[in-house]
Amino acid sequence: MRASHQECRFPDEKGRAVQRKRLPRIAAALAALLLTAACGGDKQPTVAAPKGDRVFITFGGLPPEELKGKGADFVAAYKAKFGSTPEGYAIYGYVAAQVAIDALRRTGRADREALRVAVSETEQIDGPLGSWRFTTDGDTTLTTMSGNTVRDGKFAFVTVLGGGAAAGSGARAKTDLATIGDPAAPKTGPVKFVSSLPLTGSASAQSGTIVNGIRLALEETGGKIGDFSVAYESWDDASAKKGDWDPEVEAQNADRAAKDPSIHFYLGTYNSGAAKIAMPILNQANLVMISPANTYTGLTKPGLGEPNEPAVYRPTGKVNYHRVVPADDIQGKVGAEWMKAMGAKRVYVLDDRGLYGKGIADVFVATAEELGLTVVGREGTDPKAQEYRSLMTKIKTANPDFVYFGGTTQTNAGQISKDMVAVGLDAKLMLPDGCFEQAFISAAGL
Amino acid sequence: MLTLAQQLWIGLTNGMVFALIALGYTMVYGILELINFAHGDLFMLASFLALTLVGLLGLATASGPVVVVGLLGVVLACAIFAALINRTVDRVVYRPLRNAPKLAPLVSAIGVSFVFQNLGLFWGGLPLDVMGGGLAAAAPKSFPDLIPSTNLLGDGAAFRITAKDLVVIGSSLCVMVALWLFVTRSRLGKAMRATAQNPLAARLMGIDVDRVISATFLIGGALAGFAAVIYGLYVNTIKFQDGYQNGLYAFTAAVLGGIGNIPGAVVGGLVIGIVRALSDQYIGAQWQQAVVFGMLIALLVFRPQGLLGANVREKV
Repeated sequence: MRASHQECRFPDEKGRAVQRKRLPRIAAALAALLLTAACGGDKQPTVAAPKGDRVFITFGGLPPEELKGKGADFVAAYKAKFGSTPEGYAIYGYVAAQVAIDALRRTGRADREALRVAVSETEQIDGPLGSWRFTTDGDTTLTTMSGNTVRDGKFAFVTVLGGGAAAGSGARAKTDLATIGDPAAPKTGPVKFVSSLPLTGSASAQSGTIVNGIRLALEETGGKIGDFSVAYESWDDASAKKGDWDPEVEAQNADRAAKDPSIHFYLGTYNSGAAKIAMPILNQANLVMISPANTYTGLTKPGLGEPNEPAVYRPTGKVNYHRVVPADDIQGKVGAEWMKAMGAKRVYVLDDRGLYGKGIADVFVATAEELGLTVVGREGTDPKAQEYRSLMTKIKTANPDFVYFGGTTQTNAGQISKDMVAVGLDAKLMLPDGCFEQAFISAAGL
Repeated sequence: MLTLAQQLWIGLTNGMVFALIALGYTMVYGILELINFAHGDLFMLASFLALTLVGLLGLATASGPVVVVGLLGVVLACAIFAALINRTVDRVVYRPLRNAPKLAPLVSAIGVSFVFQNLGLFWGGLPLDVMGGGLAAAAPKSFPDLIPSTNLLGDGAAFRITAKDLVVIGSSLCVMVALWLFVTRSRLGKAMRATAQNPLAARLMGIDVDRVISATFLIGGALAGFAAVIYGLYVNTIKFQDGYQNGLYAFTAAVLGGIGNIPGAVVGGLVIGIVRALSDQYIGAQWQQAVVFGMLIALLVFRPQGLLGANVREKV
């Protein structure tokens, strides 16, 4: 470049003048463009809202406002104490803590083996969720589900789905707890409960109400269970880096709990993928784990997940993991049945390729095909993608009545809902319980 | 055929955003040979400012003309904000390292990127309505849909062009043309090109190289600020990790086009946008990243200087 000293001196009068003239022209062009865009058509405050309900969410259990009896009592107590309505999973946090408290009362000793057996023999009659017990695999015998939609920025209950007795729900023989474990284990002193839930990221609102549910149950004991004093710590298994649960943090939490002899109950996790990591660690420490939210089938049920599940989570062969929510073999099935009942014929199935999302989408597809629905496409999504317009355009050409997404708010269900509308895909969307939280509604801008 | 055209259109629209961010990477690289890893996160911070302003001005519920004027204000504010931050970071962090080994500013840039990400996380936790009341700092934030996305060709039409697409493509093109004119016609642009070719010789010719560098950071930052508003309006969701994700694509775009090459960054951005769209359509959504980065690897093997050729400084 041949540039003389004078020409390149900055700033010089001439250069400035040139820029001054150009700037307004650029601004004017921009303004004109924006003007034509915003005033050209009828102004719409949100993306063209389709008539009627568009988004449907299945949930394992009933939403808070539909709960009866002790469940309704729980919701009232929760509102009185925390001043807000609980999210869907709060009651499961409450029940998980109740199960632990009840087991400690019946055992009377802070012994991990005795507590494990006591938890597995839990039986709630007319509890907040009704009457139920654990199966030998650690599943709840509850199968009641609900179908919900979104109206005016809130979840609205539509219908009860499923119900009836679950497999392996017969009564179980009770063990004499006094004969199990170390008879010399302490009968007084502190007993620590910990929970491991994602408190960072968009699941934090849901997790926060689960923690509140646990607190409520523990406070109802007045801080004393028999001669034990109760301590509770709420741990976070998410990291800011991920904005979601983090495998490293979950592994650390499980390790820490396994090694701390004063901890006797591990309440968690929220995400099934996180449970997969914590389960074998806690199993070897024989520490009771009760999940208020995991629904992936393979965690407990043989033959429905991978061939080595659930044995791979139980290295000692004992069942220390229990969950108080119905699993996805039930939820995926009722989802397909509900879709069929709503008159759907063609469905496009997406999943986030995670343990939970893919698992429930698999069950959904199997049932949908049995019921005679046409699965016109099946695809995994990138949960970190910025947007899904291309994918939705592709789906549009397949012309489905429904899109099913196996995933959570954290794996971008909100963006999927938005981009369906953005490309004019005139289909309804069905989502599983991982999206049954207010955070989904705000992410989707519904 | 129509589907292909539709996907090309979507790819083009997305590509514009990548191109705008890529310009900031490529300009700084052209002058300083510094890959400014904080650039993507600067873009993210500007998008948070945009959302905050949209919320404070109440644009989500305002009428057409107010929205247009408001948006112009938001674009201006975000461009100035990002430009000033970018320049300040250069002054505070990169300038003291100007004569240090190349790795030092690079690592510092990664550090700045983390600082920005955490600022974004903090910002997302502010108790504002648009931030979801500050309840979940890391949650995705919904950006109000201010430009209608109804089909301009009619509801039943097979091809879909929305006002939103036109705003994204049109305004980005205007900005790119303006940048091109600035770099090729203005004196400062000439000085920039001279500095890019040989900073020492430029200095000998009387060019104030530090000023040129400052101006580069200002312009790159302003482009990121502009891109942030466009992105918010188009994608309608912002989150604190957006900087990483979009920055990665934009950086790839810059490399693809030939890093340091301004038209190359635009071409690279558009290519990535289009490849993403076509890969979703014809290969499968889960392969999107694999296809994009696979293409990058292939290109670097067979044409390491990028599509349009890199601005490689001759070392004597």
